[in-house]
Amino acid sequence: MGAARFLYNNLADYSTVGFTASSEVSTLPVENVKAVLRTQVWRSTGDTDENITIDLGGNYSVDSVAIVNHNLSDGATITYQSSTVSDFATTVHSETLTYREGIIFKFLTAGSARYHKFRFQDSSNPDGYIEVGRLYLGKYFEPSTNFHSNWEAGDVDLSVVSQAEGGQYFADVKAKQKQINLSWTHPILLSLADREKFEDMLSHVGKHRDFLLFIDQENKPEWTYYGRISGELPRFRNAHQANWYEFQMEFKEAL
Amino acid sequence: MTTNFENWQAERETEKHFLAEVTLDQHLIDWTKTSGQTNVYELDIAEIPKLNHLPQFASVKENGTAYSSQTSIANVDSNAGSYYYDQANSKVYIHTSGSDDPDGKTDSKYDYTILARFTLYFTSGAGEVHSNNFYYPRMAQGALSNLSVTTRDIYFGTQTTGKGDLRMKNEDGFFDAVLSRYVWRGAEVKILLGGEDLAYADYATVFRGFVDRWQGGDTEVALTVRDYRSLLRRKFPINTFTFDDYPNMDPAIQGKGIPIGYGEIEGAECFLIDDTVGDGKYKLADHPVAVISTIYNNGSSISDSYITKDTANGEFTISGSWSGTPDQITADFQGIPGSSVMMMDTFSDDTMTGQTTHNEGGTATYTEEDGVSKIATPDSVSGYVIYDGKEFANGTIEVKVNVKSVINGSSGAAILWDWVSTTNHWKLEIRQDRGKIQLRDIGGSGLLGEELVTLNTDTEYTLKLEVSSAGVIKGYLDDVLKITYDAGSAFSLNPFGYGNYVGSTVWYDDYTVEVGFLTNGADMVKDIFTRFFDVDSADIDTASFANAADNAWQKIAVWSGGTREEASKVLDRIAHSNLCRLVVGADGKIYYRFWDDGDTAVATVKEEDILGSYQATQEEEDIYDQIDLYWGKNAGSQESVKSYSDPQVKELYKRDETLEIKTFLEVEDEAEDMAFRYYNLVREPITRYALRTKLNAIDLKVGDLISVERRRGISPTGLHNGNYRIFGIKKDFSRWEVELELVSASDALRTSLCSTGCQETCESDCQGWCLTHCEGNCELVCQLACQFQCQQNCQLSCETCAENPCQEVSCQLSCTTSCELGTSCETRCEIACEPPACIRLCETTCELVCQGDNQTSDV
Repeated sequence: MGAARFLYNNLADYSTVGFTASSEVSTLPVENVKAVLRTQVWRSTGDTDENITIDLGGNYSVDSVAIVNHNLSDGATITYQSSTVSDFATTVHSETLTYREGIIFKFLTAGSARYHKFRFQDSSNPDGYIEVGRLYLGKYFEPSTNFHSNWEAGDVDLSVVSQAEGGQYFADVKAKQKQINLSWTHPILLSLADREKFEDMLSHVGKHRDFLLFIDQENKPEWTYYGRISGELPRFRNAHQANWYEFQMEFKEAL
Repeated sequence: MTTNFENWQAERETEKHFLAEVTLDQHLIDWTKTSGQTNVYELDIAEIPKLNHLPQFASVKENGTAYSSQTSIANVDSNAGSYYYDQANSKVYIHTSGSDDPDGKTDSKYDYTILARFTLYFTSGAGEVHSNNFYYPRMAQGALSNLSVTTRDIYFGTQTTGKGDLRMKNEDGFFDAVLSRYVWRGAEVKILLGGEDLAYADYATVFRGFVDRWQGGDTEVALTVRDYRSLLRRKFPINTFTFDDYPNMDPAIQGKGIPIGYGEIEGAECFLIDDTVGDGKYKLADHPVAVISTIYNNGSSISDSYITKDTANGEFTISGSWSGTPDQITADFQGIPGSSVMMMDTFSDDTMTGQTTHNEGGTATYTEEDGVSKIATPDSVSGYVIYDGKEFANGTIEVKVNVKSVINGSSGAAILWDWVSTTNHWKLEIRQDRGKIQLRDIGGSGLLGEELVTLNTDTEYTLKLEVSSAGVIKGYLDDVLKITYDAGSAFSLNPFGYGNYVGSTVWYDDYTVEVGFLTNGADMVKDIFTRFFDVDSADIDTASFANAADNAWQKIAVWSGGTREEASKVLDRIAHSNLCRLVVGADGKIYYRFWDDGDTAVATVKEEDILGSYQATQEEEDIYDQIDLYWGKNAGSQESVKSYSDPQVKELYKRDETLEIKTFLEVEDEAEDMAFRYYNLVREPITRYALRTKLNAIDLKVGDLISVERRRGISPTGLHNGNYRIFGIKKDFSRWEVELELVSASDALRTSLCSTGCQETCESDCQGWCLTHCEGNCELVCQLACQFQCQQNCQLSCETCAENPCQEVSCQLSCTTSCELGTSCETRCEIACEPPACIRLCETTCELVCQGDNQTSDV
């Protein structure tokens, strides 16, 4: 098991980034993929061969891509290409992404490109169209030491339950939300370099911006979540050893 | 996998959430002339912030009139009053109705109000897509915590407007821009309930209404929404006299409401709208009227020879040749047209049996086509079909009617059977607009009875009639009802359907058409909403209106004009005339509810469904020792009063108050009935109950009957096992709780409680021939208060059953049991009802006796 990974600085979210799609429903345009809500989707008009092209406005290094919230079927062919030229005559990346029911992602050899294209071929899709909620492009961050083995993960049930006078339960059933607690505590400590990387991440996401958390991308790709820091931003505590720190963070999945 | 709302709702473990659809307008101004085009102006339309797309326009309207949608700029240029929406380039192009600048102003006011209508979509869920629309997850937790429909008034009427707050999240500033950009007040709001596994089509509408106001700040915005009854806060009549519309009008009428009139109006004020024509052109109504009867000047009628009537526009002109000087001009008229009734020419001048004399219509012959017996259809036939005339002295007549087609017209009647006795001329007719079979005495006394029959096509009905005195059946139709006739249209129909009389000759008679006009409250209320408030007819619950029309059939005359008032006052008065409630259901539809003792409970609240303890209260304001009911057909001064009082109320309840009920009733007997019915309701305390429940009660609405099952309750004021009527309801969707305000079903029906008892007594007492007639009469009259209607019922039965030996005693017993008239009535009836003088003397005696305080209903 490798260390957890974090993908937070989504290059596709910047306001100057341009999007084009092979097709789109006018009320569900391709710009929706950079809306913070994962449920605010782009929808194509077909499913045989659709694509989204992203123009970052300049060449930026990318080593990871992800697709959050989609309706792709398990027969879909999903490819990702990046290029320094708009016609993709030459490519920096040309990859096939493995279908997953949840978040689809791939870690790549870092390469710098301006144009990025996601292509979806899914003619057996029962919906007859392609939907994508979020597209992620960027560089992941992986601390040199993984979190403590006492990490916690569970669901928060948002249902409202009350009891009648006779003791009967009534529930207003709501969704369940994944909550994960990670810690780097003695004897698992963060180095100064890792602390600085976490500080960069926390500075960027604060408690209001979503990011991707890969608990174990090698062995448990389904343990990949899209969400944000829960509560106040976590603090670093000196571990009584020079340049080593303890750190705990609480992550809550975005629905 | 749940497949429909009912199954899904029953599953407590399904995730439920709400959708809110807000349809609102954007006021379009600051247009730019489109280069290269003659009449086209364009405007950039910005995307809706954060939604990343332009709104889909449902319509673009100019001063309330929709532009036609075009597919190109060039087409817009060629068509005044049109628009083209170029969504790809974020522009809308219009061509105004006047082919001029849409930003043009007169006296600093815009000549045009141009509004683009579209819908925003929200959800309390995580965000979802239905029909290509993204439902934005902005509804705050508990966003719908206080949707309520309630009233403190249990005496019918329009009740309080249903309202609530729809709270939305605004931390990211979404509403900062859109609140100022769009016209939120008056925006239509539709709230649906659904959730996982449920298709959008199966979501249930739980509230529909309009945005009344908004309030909010950086974190949240609340839209206060009200249901359709918020329309009733508008001034009525809606339209006023203006110089724009009537440049030659009397200046004194500027700003006054253009009258509306329903029913038979007397003495309606008329308004001079053009003083340049003859002795003046006057307007009496803001709509078509059925008949303009008589015009008066200072109370003296003006000969029709000087009047040019324009019923289509509710106007008339007084000829300049009239010698008088117009001063206070008033009119008698029949208001908004309603069902027209085709009346067969009277048989007094027709002899149909084997003759064609007076048979102005013509003849036709049955033939057989394709193995089916049909009547050969002459071209351009107008008229009425009867089959061969038959004669009967007396006995039971059976008329078989195979209804082949019940047309969805609002009017029309088929006379199926016609019988002339020496004293009466009765017709049996099917009225299309009621779905009933009625027996009418066209001799002048009006409706005699009606059978509650719902007509279904391809169904044969057998109608039995007892003829107990000599008469002649002039003819009957054992054939087909097929009428296509709507109010206001020319009467032209093919009266022939399938028959069994191949080769025989039939006659169709000439006919006349009585131009009808709306006479009952249900029809009027429906018309007010659709005609004046632009409510879609699909939002009118036809079943409740039809039921109200059937059960609350009092004739009323509504006139509202000149001085404007809140529309709710007019609607209240109509509802008070009918003992009906105007209710907006959870589905957003408008209901006009008559509480019927035949209603069945639509839901059951069990002990375990009740949260906390219920509360029972008796309110002082629910008790009155006197009722004053105002009625009359004279426009603007319906101040005739019918009163009932009971000194015992003061003694018992220390209450010395009079309840004033304003109605539009126009018939004195009906006003008296109604006053007594209210009197029954208010002279004893009514216990109100309030409880909270976890019941899945989103479908419940005011007026529904529910069953309560509890083990205990303090009799008679406790909430125990029984049926209760909802008169207030508040729904807290955030906690899935419903607060109900209830009255017992029996209390709610004090106004009509005699019906069951009277009917049952009649049924048991009246044996033999008497039974059907007595039962029918009871069903009809016992919807009214018991006191003298039951007596009249018995009188009628006595007449009908005069040859039945059981009659004298049983009728008397019936009266006694049902109406508890007391010993004196009984004794006198016994004495009076000795044959052969029974009928008249009994009637007279009962009438005399049954006026006193000793009569009570069998409540």
